[in-house]
Amino acid sequence: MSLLDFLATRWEDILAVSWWHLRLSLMAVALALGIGLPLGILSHMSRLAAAVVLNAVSVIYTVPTLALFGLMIPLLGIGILPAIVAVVLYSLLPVVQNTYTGLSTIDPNLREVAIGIGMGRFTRLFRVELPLALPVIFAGLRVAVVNAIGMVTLASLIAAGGLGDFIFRGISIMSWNLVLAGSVPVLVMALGADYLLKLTEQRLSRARQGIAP
Amino acid sequence: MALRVDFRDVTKAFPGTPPAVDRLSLTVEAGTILALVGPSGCGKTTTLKMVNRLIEPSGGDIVLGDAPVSQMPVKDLRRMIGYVIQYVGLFPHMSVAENIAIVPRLLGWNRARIDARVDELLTLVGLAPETHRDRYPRSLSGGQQQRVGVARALAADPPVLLMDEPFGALDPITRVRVQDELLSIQRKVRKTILIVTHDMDEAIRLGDKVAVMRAGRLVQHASPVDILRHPRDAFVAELIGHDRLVKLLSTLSVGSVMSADAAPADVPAVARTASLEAAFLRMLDTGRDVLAVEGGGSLHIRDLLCASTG
Repeated sequence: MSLLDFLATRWEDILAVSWWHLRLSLMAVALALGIGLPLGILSHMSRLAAAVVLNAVSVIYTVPTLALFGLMIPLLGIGILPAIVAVVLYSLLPVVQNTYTGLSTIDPNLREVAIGIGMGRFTRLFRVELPLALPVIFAGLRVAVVNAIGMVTLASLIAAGGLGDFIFRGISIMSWNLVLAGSVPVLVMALGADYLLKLTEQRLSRARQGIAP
Repeated sequence: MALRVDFRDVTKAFPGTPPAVDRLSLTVEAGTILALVGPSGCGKTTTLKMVNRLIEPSGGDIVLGDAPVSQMPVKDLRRMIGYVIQYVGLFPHMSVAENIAIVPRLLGWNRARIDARVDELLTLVGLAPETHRDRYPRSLSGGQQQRVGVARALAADPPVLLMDEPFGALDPITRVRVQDELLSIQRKVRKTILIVTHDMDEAIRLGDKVAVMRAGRLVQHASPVDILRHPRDAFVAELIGHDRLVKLLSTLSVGSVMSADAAPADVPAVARTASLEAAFLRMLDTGRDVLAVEGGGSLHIRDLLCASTG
């Protein structure tokens, strides 16, 4: 079967699986953001937390992704839950690290003014520090999303579905049509997400500095 | 409203080094400007930051009006003290109006009152509200940013204003203009202002009193004219520079040394509020040793000779 014939008969499948793939990725990143942002803030506030949290997320990040999925099996079995947990764990580093870096690299003069003007710890965080750190945090989020879209491909190995299904089946029956049907959408989604998020990041960064976007 | 600021034997010692501020006692009268001047590391900024407790003294106390700052809740204290720093410290992600509105918002003012106050302050510092309110700091010149910084510090009508090298980053021309503006604002608002500077000229221009510091100690605390007439020691004299007497002449007004004697009929006239420097230049320029003072009286070159000693 030619690639075009293949696409003509299977396009609905490909779209549905791509959509599922994207949802899985975004769900994992959303969770990573929900967990990572507070951890990054905590690390910024306490030196002890920074030592523990930043090291822990770094260690997780050094585990090869395939091994991380493998490690999930004895803990959580197979399926969607362990797949998401693995992607969340892996996405923590860019989120936590960038939140921490973004907050820690704010101009110390601005921090001092915020304190000197009578802002409390949390007012300062929400009104000054987080808004100023936002472009850096967003850059971390972008890395996490692109990572996650690629990584979810492997989630197929622990029966969570996604475009990996096409790729691995294609490899095993030597159908290049199937391999392409899996890998091209991954590529397109990763590049597309990267582009869109980069654009948003630039606009955000300009808006933060008061330059018209 | 303004409050007196009283330093009582204030000391700040950091472990392992000589005290940054060593038993400093001085009083800043309500509604006056004190210029703290000295070389870097003399303790002037530390002194300033102990007022709003960005730095806690290791000994002594600072009293605002009747209240020792150490007894006040720190957030309340800071909200009643305006604070301006060298790099202005405007928040880049907030518009001019949002920057000015920070303390009023912290104090829970309502929207209408805040908006009215923002416009009032922008007008006070010489920026048209309609065209500046919604701009971002990045799009303002250094002098405009500094004015917004002053407006922000005045937002909640604090009785005390702290300024840490506020004009240090401005070019000399803008600097003099903004200094003049500060003085004209001060004539309207009458705050107690503590201003830190390493520039003796700025201290003399702005201060009702000047406090010269060196290595944590108060070397001299006097009016600008007294400092120029009688520098306590070689260190103060050196800070003032070799043109001490020129500075003195430019600080004193004609009115302060003139005599009531009528001037000869044909001599040039000079305003009572003009500086002695201007009057002296006028004498050099016209070749006369006496000038008529507008509104009666005269200024003789002899009067200038007395000026240096008072």
